[in-house]
Amino acid sequence: MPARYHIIVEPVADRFISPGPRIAIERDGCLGCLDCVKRQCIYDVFKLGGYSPEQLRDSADSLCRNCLWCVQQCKRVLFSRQTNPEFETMGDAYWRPRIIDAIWSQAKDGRVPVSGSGYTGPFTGPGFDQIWTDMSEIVRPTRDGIHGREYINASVDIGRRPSRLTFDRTGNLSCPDYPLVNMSLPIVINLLPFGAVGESLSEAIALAAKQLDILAVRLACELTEHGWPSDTAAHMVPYIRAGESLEPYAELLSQVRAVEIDDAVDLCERITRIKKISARSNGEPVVIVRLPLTPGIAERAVELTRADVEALHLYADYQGRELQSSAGGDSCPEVASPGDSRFVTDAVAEVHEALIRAGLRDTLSLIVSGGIALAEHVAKIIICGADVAGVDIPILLANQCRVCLNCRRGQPCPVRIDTVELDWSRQRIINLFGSWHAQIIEVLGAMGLREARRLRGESGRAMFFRDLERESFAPIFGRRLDEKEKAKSP
Amino acid sequence: MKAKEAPERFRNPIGRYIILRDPDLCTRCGTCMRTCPAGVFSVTDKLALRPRDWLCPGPCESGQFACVQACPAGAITVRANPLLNTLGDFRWPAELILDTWEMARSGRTPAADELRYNLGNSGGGFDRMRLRFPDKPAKKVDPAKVDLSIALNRRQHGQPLTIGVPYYGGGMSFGSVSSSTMISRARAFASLNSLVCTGEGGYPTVLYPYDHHVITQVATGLFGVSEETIQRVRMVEFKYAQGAKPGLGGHLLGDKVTASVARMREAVQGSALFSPFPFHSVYSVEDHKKHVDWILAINPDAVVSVKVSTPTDVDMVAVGSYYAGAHVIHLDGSYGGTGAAPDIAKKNIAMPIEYAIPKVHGFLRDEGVREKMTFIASGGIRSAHDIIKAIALGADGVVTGTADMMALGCIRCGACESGRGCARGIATTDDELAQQFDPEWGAQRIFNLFNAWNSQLRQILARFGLTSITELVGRTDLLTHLDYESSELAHDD
Repeated sequence: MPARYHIIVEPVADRFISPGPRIAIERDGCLGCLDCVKRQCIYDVFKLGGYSPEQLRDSADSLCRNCLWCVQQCKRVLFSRQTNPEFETMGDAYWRPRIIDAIWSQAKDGRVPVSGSGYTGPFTGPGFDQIWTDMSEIVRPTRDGIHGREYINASVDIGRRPSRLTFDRTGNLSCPDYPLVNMSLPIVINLLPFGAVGESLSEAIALAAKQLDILAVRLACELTEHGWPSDTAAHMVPYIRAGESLEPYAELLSQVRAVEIDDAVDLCERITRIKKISARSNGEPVVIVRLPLTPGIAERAVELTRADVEALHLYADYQGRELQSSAGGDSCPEVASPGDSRFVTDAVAEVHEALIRAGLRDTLSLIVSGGIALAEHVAKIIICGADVAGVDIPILLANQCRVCLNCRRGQPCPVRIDTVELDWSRQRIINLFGSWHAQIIEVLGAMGLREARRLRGESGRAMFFRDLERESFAPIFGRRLDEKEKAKSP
Repeated sequence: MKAKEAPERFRNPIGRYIILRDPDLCTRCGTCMRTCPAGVFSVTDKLALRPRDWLCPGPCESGQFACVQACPAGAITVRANPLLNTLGDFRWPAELILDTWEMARSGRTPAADELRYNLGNSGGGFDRMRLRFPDKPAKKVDPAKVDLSIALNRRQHGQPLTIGVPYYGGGMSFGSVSSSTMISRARAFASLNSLVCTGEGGYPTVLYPYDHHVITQVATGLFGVSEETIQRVRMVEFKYAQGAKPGLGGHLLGDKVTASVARMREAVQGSALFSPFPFHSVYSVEDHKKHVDWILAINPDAVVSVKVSTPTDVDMVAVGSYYAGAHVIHLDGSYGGTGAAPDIAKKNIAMPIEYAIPKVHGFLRDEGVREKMTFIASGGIRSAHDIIKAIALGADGVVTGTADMMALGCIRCGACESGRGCARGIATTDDELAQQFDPEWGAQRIFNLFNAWNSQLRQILARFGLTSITELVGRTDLLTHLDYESSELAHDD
């Protein structure tokens, strides 16, 4: 058995006080009584918290657990609380305040978010919230895996596999020996769609990718211009845009294990060329083809798979929506697709199924990015057919980004992401994925699975909102109304 | 026990309004006190107390706040309480919490529209279903004569066991909740002639007086399970999984393993306790039957319940439990409560109970065993309407948990697991925090809430023209779902 994979998390303090979901109100009129509720707070919020004149914010608001003791016990009724508009207006319709807050806390302490009381959210929601994962009542003692006795393996491979082994007359393998990259998590760090990314964050990503034993996609031109920390090349995936000449990257290509390129008319020649110039001592790199997740892309995916492509990176927009066209070849779309575009789960399932029908699914790897925000999204996108999830915005959020998009408007970043300290940033990213790893293992354990690779395309291990409604409610209530009809219903 | 006032235990109860009386303008004439029907004001010629604004149910019949209108000095102002925006969540909106507290305080049904204290805001499942009352019931029924009792043993073996209400108290271990909370629940459920489950944490001696109304739980950690505890009770529950964390087992954090908890569980103080998922000795229906037989060998009179979560093959699990010889199949849906669970599990793993009920009811019926099996549902039962909906979808009864906590003053802050535990003294074993209320008050609060529910259940059944809750089982024709075609039919009626 290989050495157990373990992510070492450690608490890393915030650089900036994050806005809390609620703000405390304290009115004048304190009589200074001896049994002041401020001293009774079991979380010591009043002792530990304090107002920062630089940041114009009180850390008590994010420390408070909302038990309402002070509100309900103060003799003079001086305390109240209200919702925090600054918190509620963070992010956008997809990167909602609760998601942002959850990522912050995981990056801060690296722990699995645990709470008491039942689930507090809506019954279901758009996108990933249409899916529940399954559990098994009696099979396999995987729960022990979480605590050490039995190992749940989250590792996956990227690369091509022959559909069967072939041998020549002398008994030697005659099928091609494709390169394969193994990663300890089913996660690739994707290009960042926005963010005032400075050198320290870039380096932090490289170091974190190495420490986590995963891959990080970076613009090839940036890698050659700014370099990368020593020993991290094997975890970098340079992305070479269509039209860029390959020759300047010869040295880089000889050091990496994988490279991403755009789909193009001369794709096959480019792949051959890459394999040729990367005279790497321990094998050629896996060439991943970056494909926009657009309607009808399944056909192209099958075509490319037939043409022996080793891996595809299907990217949706940053809110997880299918792109409308591949025109322009924007490899990292900044603008959200229209709200009625298909969600990445449905679009990926179509590609996955098309590859199955063509009998090709097991021959290559699918990386899928766009809208992956929580650990559960990694599990769910894999259930829908991906091998690996590409993660982008959570990297920024781990560095306390608020998705304010000031950077896109040329305005200064409120949390100065350009000035993060290397070690701080690296550990925050490690913490985030440490928490995700533990959560992915919880979900796999509940399903009775011991390997993340076995989850791929296992839609039978999930329950979909539309199916449950049809199976359980349609026989009782008839036809479910569509959205337009629902709008008219009370 | 009878319903009687059990006031809020905090100095400043939370209300819908903030009512202020300007002491500089007030002449202490007492007009407000005479005007207000809710008893908000208390004024003598010497002293005017702070308005008890939490009692204000809203504008008076005139549509105005009569106190504001009537005050000759213009000293009274009423405004919405901004705290309400921070209270509650999709499943338990602020209005539902406040009304639940009101029922726990008074024991009576609130005067508001019944949907206010019967619905969450989750946008699916129970919250989109409505009851379809006939214009005129087929039969005239006196609500007072409606029978709410259900039988838990429908099989040939074991003693008969009937409970007075179609619900019992779900498992909460000593360790996850304080002994005041445990005793409060035991007293309340005993008064209702129902049952309450110990959870997996041993059988505290404080529960001995309630043996007749206790379900003892056998879960994967087998904490505190002994032949003696199994022989004490009329019903034993096997916990295979819990809805809030299906497939993950239990986890009592080290902080909560105090000296008394450790003694009860035969464990070491301060070290975290795992109740590992699953039962490692059970891989088949035959193994499961061995488990049930083991209990019945120790206590042949026992009624055995099997608590499972809601995976996609939940129907097979249910029928398996029948063939293993269990009396009760208890499904705990994925949105159920917990003292501590990973958020990813609470939100994502297993299906909500609303889907599982019709699926299992139908499957047991098709297998021809529905009549021999008692089918209990839980995981998000918050109100009388939820009970009606669960039973109409096909369950025989339900299990409560969170609602009991709400009656004790829970505000769903979700911090049960952190540090010393619940700041409000409910889900904690911290010596100081757990002293906040006494079981007598707690029992009254829980009883009051359920007393209000019972009168609502009786009213609803009478409006349906049903004389017993058992007639409601599987009556999906009495439900409608706002997102379905049938809701249009309902409006045409």
